[in-house]
Amino acid sequence: MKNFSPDIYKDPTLVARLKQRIAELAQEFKEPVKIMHICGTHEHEMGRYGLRDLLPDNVEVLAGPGCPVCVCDTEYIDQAIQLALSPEVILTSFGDMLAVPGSIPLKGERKGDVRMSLLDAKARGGDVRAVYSVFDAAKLAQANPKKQVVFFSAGFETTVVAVAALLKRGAPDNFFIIEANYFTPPATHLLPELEGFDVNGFLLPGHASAITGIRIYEHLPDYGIACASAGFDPVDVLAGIASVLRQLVENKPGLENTYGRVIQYDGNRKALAELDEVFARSSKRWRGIADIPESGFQLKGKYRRYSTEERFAEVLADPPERSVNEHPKGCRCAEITLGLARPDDCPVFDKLCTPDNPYGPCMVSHEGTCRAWYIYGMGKERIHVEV
Amino acid sequence: MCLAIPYQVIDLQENDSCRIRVGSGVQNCFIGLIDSVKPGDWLVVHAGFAVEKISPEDARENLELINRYIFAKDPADKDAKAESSE
Ligand code: SF4
Repeated sequence: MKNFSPDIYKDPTLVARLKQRIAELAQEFKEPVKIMHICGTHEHEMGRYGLRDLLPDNVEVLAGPGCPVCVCDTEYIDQAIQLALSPEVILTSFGDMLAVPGSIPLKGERKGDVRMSLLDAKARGGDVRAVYSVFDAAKLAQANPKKQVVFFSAGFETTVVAVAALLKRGAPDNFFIIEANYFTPPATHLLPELEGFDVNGFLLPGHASAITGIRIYEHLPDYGIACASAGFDPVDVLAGIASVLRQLVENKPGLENTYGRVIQYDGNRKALAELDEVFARSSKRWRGIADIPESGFQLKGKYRRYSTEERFAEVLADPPERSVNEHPKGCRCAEITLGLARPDDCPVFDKLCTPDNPYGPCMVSHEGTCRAWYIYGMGKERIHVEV
Repeated sequence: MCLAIPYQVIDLQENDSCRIRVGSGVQNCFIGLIDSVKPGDWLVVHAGFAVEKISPEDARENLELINRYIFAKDPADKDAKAESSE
């Protein structure tokens, strides 16, 4: 192969061979096999390409806590709303975060236990803007020196490392970030310890693992869980599944890198060094799941001046009234992000909750499991309970 | 969200950035975390910055691994022929 062509990872012949190989391997199991991915894009691509339809009945792929929008703590969403409503602030965020309900009740406007999102803040006069990248948010700060530009930095390793790279090279004085920065690997220490968690294999994240490498997941095979890092094209996802099944058949759970053209075992060292220089690891609240030690990033040292917690301490010291429940009443996102329920187990899926009118966080983002199931028609065959 | 599609570099720009081809359009991309990027290279891009570079060599090895370790009936079969798309 002299020149690289991305399309080879969509090759229908290879997809058909992988389907057959997965079927062969699946025959070796008496019990159903459960494989969890922890990257929202895997869910999205599985839906988009209909990959679950290629799997035998005894192989189930579950969505884990891989959607940053879904696991972002309500406190950060509420802070973003509060700051967006300050006249001096331009609040910037990835488009996916704008419709996520936090925990500030919005009474009487729509049916159910409705909470405010950044779009509601915008409708109330807040200057809220969607940006494509943290670099665009910094440019906006440069162009608006009289305003305070806040970037709602909700995301995993791939988002955080871009923030680190930007701040290290210098950002405008009127630029700040909300540190909703999550780190995936520590969540995989928690999952196998959870009651009712009976997963046999993990598909490790694609691009987050390009930053961290997969060495950081070496603890998982000790639980008897087989792991494969996987990319997002149909060949990649199916190769990851086949790898997990094969490791289980051989009774040798380990770590296999089926996305070696992008992921190195030790990750991207340059990116990790910049991450370490700008951020320290800290405990974070994962929405509806738990406080997970070491699972987040906080700005450290001289970079703390970019934190909204420092710059807007006074404003944030007076928070609005908040609901004590992390998810709206009836929403089952907490179980869905742990693979303990399917979107169509939720009584309001496709009723109160749709992509145009998301009631819970998993229906908002392209990485959200409920949204992927809705858009790609998964689970629609089930009968829904009216509410 | 992560996108599966890699993008090809058009040319290098100032401040650790390059231009990439996106469909029929062009976008800027930060490349400060990747060594020696040049026009024609393929990049994995996440929200405006390059996460990794894909070399044709790595792409070929990736396909070989899929063929060797996933399709080989005997895991120790080191002679299993890789069916790469050369
Ligand atoms: S459909 Fe999903 S996002 Fe919507 S309320 Fe139910 S669990 Fe929450």
